Parts: sequence; C-alpha cells; structure tokens
Amino acid sequence: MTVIQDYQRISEDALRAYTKNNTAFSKNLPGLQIAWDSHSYGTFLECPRKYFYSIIIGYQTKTPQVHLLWGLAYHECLEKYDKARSEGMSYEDATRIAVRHALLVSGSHVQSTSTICKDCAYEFDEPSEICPACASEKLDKTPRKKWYPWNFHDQNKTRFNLVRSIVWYLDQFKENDLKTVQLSNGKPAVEYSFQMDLDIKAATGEQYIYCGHLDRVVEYGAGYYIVDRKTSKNTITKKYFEQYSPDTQMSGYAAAGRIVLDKPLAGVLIDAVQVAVTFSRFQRGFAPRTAGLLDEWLGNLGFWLEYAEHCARKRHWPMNDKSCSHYGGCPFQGVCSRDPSVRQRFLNADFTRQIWDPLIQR
Amino acid sequence: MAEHENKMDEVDVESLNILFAKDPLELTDNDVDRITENLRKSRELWAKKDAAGLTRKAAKPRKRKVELTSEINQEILTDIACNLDIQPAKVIVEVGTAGFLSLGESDDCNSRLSAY
Repeated sequence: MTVIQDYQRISEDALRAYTKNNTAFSKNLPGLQIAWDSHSYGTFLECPRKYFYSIIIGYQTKTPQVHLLWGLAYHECLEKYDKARSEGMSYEDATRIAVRHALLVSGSHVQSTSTICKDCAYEFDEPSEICPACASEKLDKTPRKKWYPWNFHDQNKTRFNLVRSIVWYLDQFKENDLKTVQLSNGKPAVEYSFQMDLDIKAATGEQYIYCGHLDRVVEYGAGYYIVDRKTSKNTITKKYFEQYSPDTQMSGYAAAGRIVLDKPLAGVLIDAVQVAVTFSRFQRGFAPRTAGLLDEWLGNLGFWLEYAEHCARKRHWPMNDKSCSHYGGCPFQGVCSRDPSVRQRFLNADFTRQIWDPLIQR
Repeated sequence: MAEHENKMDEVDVESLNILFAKDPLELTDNDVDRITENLRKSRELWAKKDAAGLTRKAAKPRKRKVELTSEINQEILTDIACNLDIQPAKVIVEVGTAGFLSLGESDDCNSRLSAY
C-alpha cells in the first residue's frame, strides 16, 4: 500500500486571507499561530484538523452552543461577584450584582417595531392605524427594545438554573470565602488577563506567547491557587477531579500563575457544579502542580509548537480520527465523514465564521 | 408534615416566575433581592432533602458472580434445569433482589449462581 504524501493543501493566499485580521497569527508564515491560549492549544492537541477549521478559519456551528454559553455566563457572574468583593463590597451587595448580571446575560434585547395601544396596552405587529383589540387610535409606534430570555432545548442549562446556581454557590461558599491574592501593583488578582513570552521562537524569528485569563488567584491553606469553575450535568466525584491531572488547561493556568504572578503556585482549585433540573450541587477539588510538572508541560508545549509550525509550512493539518467522538462529539464530525470533494458545501451550510484571537483581552 | 414541606411554603414560586419573566433592566434592587432570597430558601429546602437522602437516585445493585456451593439448594436447581431440558452442570441462575430469576446456559460448563 502506498502512503499518499501528496495530500490536499490549502493555498497560501487563502491561509493569509483567513488570518489577516487575527493578531495571534504570524505575518510571515500564513497559518502559523504565534500567540496561543489553552483553547487553541487544546484544540490543536485534540485534532489538528479541528484546529484548522475552528481556530485558523474560525468556523463555528450556527446552532447556539448551549453548554458554552451557559458556562461563560456562569463564569462571568461569579467574576462580577469576586471583583465586587475584592473592591470591599459586602456579601449581599456583591451577590446582587452577580444575580442581576445572571438575569441580564441570559437573554438579549432585540429591536422591536411592534405597536402598543395606549388605551388597552395591546401589542401588535401588523401595520394598522387603529388598535385591533379596542379600535383606539391612540397608538405608540416608538421603536423599542424587547427582552427575549434564553430558550434553549436543554433541561439543565436554563436561565433559571443559571441564577439558581449562582445564588446557591455563593450561599454554600459564603463562610469559607477564599482570600484573593493582592498583586504587586496593589490590585486584587481577579479577572487577570496574562501574556507570557515563551522561551521559544518560531523559525520566522517571532517569539511565541502563551496567554489567557485567570478568574482569580487565592490563598488557601498554606498555598496559592488559581481558581477555576467547571460545570457538569453529572455527579461530581473524585474521579471527576482526576481528569484535570494531567490537563493542559490547568497546567497552563498554573504555569502562567507561577511566571506572571511570581508566586509559588500549588495548582488549580476547581469549584465544580453539577447542574441538574431541580438542584445545583457543588464540590471543591484540586489539580496540584509541582514545579517539575510545570517544566515538563512547558517542554511539551515547545514540542507541539514545532509541530504546529510544521503543519503551517506544509499548509496541512491532518485529522486525528481517534478524537472524533470525544467530549460529546466533534462538531466537524459530520464534515470529516464526507468525501473531501464535498466538505466545503457542508461547512458553508452548517457553520459561520468567527475569529478566535487570544490576544483580545476580555 | 416534614420540616422541608413547611419550608416549601416559604418559597414564593409565583413571585419568582413573575420576576423571571420581566425585562431585567426593569427589576429593582428589591426585586433582585427577592429572587435571591427565594432561591436561598429553595436551597435550604433541597439541602434538607439531600441530607435525608431523598434527592439521589438509588444505585443499581451490582451484579455479583457467586460460585455454586453445596449451600445452594441443588435440588431446586436441578428441578428447574430438568424442566428446561438442560444439564444442571450448565445452568446459570440469576436471582434479583425483587425475586427476579432467569436461567441460561453457562458457556464454560461450570455451574454458577449469579446473584444480584
């Protein structure tokens, strides 16, 4: 059997066009990412083809990614709380900010052109000079924004369960509130975006960067920890926490914390929530990282970045077809399972493009 | 009436539903606090149920393989096997906690009892 080495390559011009507005990519070698974060790196490790589709080209599914949206909202709300607390706000006031944010972020305001009757308050969309309900001519046609709450087809990741999870989390961990670390500039280590130069350069001479966002750095017991929050629909067990050691996202956080904050980080403290239909249950676990483990992680990172550069030079990102069913199934499985000649049609039909640029700070 | 049932009355579900249906920009601080307070009460209620073991699904009994020994009523086993026209030496008897019983032939010709 002959191994086909003349695989299909994307053109240099197309690659350049895809990444021209993404500041994380090399200007010298199209398709080479210079600034990495845990999401792009993790995607590359999972499957270079998935990385090519979702990070380089930026394909995202058209259907709302319920778990992602819910998780982001959950993170944001608790960050609001952490920040308010670190600025000296009381528990009750900070909780109110988080709950209000949860209510607001779990829906959207959409411009409405409906008409409201000033007499009977009936609201209608059809063009009319009189109210269809009471025949009044006193109509309010002022354009206004109308509130539409989330309406996902998921019984666990609902708007109500988001607000409930926020309130229950803050209620459960009220007493043993973790102590936020103060940075050398006097600011609390909350919502901390970092960029660290890696001791590796691409062949183009560009310095690789690892960047990301730390929710919070805390003192807990005798050590310093990065706090990360995770959501799951399953029961949180000891085995659940074991999946984070080793784990590139957690190691990246810990490595960043050690280098950027200049603190002897003990690892990552994970507050996990099981979101069920009628309850949210919380468990606190740890992903410890020694200095040796972090050095090893950085070594591996350098190795994989060399491979990413190799892919960019070849203008080819091969499939890792052992990953297709991981993490609930790859969104591109339906594309990769088709003949290469028809894939673009499926990409055009089912995906939109959105740039993932790790250098854009939150 | 159990204690958690008393608590249930304190969770104002109707009020919660009304507040959740509103445009969040129109909610006052008092509205947000009412939501929070109601959800705290619901947690208190749930925590009591949880502590009483009422919120977790009963785990499925684990299947255990038990070697056939003389303590097992060989006579009954042989009767059952004869009725099914199979050799007692090849019988597997599976007994469930709710009186469930099923039979099948052992692939290794060793008589075994599988009990749940």
